[in-house]
Amino acid sequence: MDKTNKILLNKERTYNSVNVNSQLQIGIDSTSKPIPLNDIDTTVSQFEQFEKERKESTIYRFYGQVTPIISNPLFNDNIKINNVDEPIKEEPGLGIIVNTTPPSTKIFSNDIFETDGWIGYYNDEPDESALQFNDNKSALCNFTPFDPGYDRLRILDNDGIPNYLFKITYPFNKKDITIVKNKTGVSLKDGIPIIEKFTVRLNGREYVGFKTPINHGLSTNDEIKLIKFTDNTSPSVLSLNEKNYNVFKLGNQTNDLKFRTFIIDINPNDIDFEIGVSTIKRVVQNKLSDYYVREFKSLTTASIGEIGGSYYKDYDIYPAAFGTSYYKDKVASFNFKTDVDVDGLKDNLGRPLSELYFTIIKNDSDTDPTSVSTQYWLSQQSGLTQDIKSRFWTKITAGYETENNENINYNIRSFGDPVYNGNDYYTNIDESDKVFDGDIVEYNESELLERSLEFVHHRVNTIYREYLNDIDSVYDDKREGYLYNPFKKIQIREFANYINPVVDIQNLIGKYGITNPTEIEVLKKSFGVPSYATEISNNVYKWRDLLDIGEIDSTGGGVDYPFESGAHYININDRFFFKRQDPPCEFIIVTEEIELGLTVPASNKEKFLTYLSDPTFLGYSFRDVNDITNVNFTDGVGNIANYNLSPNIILDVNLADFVGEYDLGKRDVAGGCVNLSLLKQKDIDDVC
Amino acid sequence: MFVDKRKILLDDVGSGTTIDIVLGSDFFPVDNSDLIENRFVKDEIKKSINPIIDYKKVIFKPAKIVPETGNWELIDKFRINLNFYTPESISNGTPEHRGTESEPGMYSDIGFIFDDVFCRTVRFTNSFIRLSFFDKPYSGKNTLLTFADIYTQIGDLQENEYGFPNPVDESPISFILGDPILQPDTVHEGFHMYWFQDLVDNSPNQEYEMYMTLQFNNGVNGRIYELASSREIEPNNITINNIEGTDGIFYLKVVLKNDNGVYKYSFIPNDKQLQQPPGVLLNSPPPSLPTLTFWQITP
Repeated sequence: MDKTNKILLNKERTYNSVNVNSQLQIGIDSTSKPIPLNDIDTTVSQFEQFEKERKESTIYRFYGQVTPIISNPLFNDNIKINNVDEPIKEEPGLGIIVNTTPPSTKIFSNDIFETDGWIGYYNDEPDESALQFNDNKSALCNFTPFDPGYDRLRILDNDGIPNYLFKITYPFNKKDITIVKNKTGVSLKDGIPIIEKFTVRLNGREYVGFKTPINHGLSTNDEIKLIKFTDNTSPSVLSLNEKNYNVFKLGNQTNDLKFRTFIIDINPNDIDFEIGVSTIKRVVQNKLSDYYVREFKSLTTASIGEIGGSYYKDYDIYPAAFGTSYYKDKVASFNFKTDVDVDGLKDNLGRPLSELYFTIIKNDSDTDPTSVSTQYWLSQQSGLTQDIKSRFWTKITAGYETENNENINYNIRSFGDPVYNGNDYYTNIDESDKVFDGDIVEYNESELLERSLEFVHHRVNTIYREYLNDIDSVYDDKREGYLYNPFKKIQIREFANYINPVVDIQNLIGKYGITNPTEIEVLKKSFGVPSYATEISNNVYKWRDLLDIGEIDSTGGGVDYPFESGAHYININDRFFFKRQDPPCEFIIVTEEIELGLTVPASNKEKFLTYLSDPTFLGYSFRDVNDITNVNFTDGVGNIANYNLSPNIILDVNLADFVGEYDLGKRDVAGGCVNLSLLKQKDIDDVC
Repeated sequence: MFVDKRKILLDDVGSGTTIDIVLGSDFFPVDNSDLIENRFVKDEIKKSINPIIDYKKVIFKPAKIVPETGNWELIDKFRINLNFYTPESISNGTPEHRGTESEPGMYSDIGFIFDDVFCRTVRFTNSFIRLSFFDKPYSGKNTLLTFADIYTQIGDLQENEYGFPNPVDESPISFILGDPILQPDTVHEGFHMYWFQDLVDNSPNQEYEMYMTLQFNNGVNGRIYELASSREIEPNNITINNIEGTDGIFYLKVVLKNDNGVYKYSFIPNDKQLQQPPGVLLNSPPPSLPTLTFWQITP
């Protein structure tokens, strides 16, 4: 445009003129027109859109299968509970009242059988119409487990009362515990305690070895700090405060216990430890590891929809088609109806969640008053205190599978052993809880990774077994309960196998004199420092990238799972082991002498019958074989028990006394580790 | 750009003095590419991408509605009876269903012989019920949503006390559907319904309606029988008004409900389906089972 206008101010025109506002309209003409565009083609990438939606979604849906390995070696009593016409009645204002204790029949030792791990009996009574056990379907030669049986232990059972609750949990907090008792306040935060020192001879030299109560998480050549050990050398040659030592080897002299023992190249005479006080910590690039317990919080409500209907609000559960374990336990399929949103959730280290946990909790809803067996046990327990007499199962106790030492807390296998009374455990756990104590982990700031050292185990027992001595002072408590691991990890994201180069923002802050916190935040953002980055010194950060879903790093790390309907679908395939607390691996054959005949008290007969019905009964023999020559015992055991003649006969009754690692009262069934071939074996043909 | 230079003495600039300075520009838009690329294309891409539709299905369990409380009470099993015109009545020209109550017909009514039942012949085991679920109770304008097949089986009802199949004229065409966990000995197909959680959750009152029809596919003669949940059928005067619609006998209303986190469904009969003998009888006192009875429509 080159058109110019000269405009004189009015003042220039005449002397009297004054300037006034004048406006000049200038038309901007254009003879050009926008160029018509051609067709615009844009390709929308379905893959990119899928990836975008997948990255943005924080919704998770869970489905899967649980294969249970469950049985009842810790049964209440070897009895058959018979039905009665009216075991209970309902009185207005008084509720359900036990009308009468349902009658029971003791099952003799010879009639006790094990089928797929379940202990019970085969019905051998021809008239079953008046005899029922729980499912109302007892029939001749049908196997029926003792209580707790299928209806109280299986994940899928048809009484409509859930035996377990499934939850989705995540680690949200950490806490400190004292693993080994001590008076100096040393706890897990101070390292893994040492409970034993031993000497190992290798290559003609002696090395010192140490034992830890829990898994130490060490590998050969790992660097460790020995804390509060005693240096016997003079002057302190070992320099324990200044120097770190390398793990020479794992395991003891026989290469066993590699997870709980380690060897250091120190003369055993030069070093000593104090139990509960001396600890070790792994060292990586001069950073000492932290040790702590993770606490888990439930993301699902886990409430039961309707009692008696086996329906859950959070999930549906149903039999997996044709799915059974090797031991014929039905595989349970489940599908969480409730979606889990992890948006904004942080783990115990303040990082976005990379792990969730599929959690199974044993619950106590086995007190259905309409069940004959429940009525039997509740009537047996009626003399117990108010808080426990109406329960079938004890509240859950938790701990870890530690080494056996009376100074060790949280040794779940020892729970109930009088020697360990007063030790610490996690107690009063209930399925309705929202927070659970979890595993013991190690975290090293140099590696920026957590490593689980010990899984937590839950322990339950039946009220009847736990308080048997209070119920009937003739018997000892049976304090061995069941253990299970409630948590199974679900890896929803994974941290990269590399650590980002250290980002030093402080350098820039110092160079440009930045003091405004907002500007510092902007700076952090521009350098891509995530919120969970570890600040190793003032404004100096390091971190591991959280890999996107579908992103696999150079070592194959990363996760990939279906994304559909705006949610991530995670399949869980879990095995659930319900195991004994302390399966006895030893046994002693105990011989009891019983005299029967005309001149002995009648109680001897009762005692003899008690032996015969004891699950540990092995057999009996006549002390003097000449005793049987003049007497015709045509009616077998019953006739012997009724022997009331002269002279008296003496019987030697053999019983097995199963011995576990802990004193948990009487054991009725041997552990799988016992060589049963030494004991009597039975066949079903003996009965049916 | 042209610059118009002026010299203005300070004294000359008095009050109210304004100077219009013309700013010429030789730029004019040639096209709208910037706008198109940054706004239009992005908007169009956004519009072209389908919203995320939630295809998650959940299990719905059958329930009965307790008249006194209106509560939806779960049931762990229910019975389906099928009642057909007896062959004798058809040959007489006056088709009549068996019995007068809500009861099943017998397998002999639809051509099965004892060998079929005893040997579980293919034509027996391949005969099946199809439960079809539609969005509307009008066959001209409805859409099939889902269906479930229940195959013919020999259960307790068809056997005597020793476990042998009854004669076909004593073998009821009846199915007991039950929960796979609570009632393992029952038929499980058709017991649960599987439907979209999202649709039910976002329906008014969290209740979603469907309309169910029942057909029996007979392997003996290859015929598909339509059955209605009411005995009020005039076989020689079947009208569309009597069959279809919310008041008709053919479509049985099914409501799926999110009942405080538990997903349930129930059959909601209309007046004709409740007439004696009722086609839908869910609140029968124990030991009777909740029962659905269907009668053949066309001879």
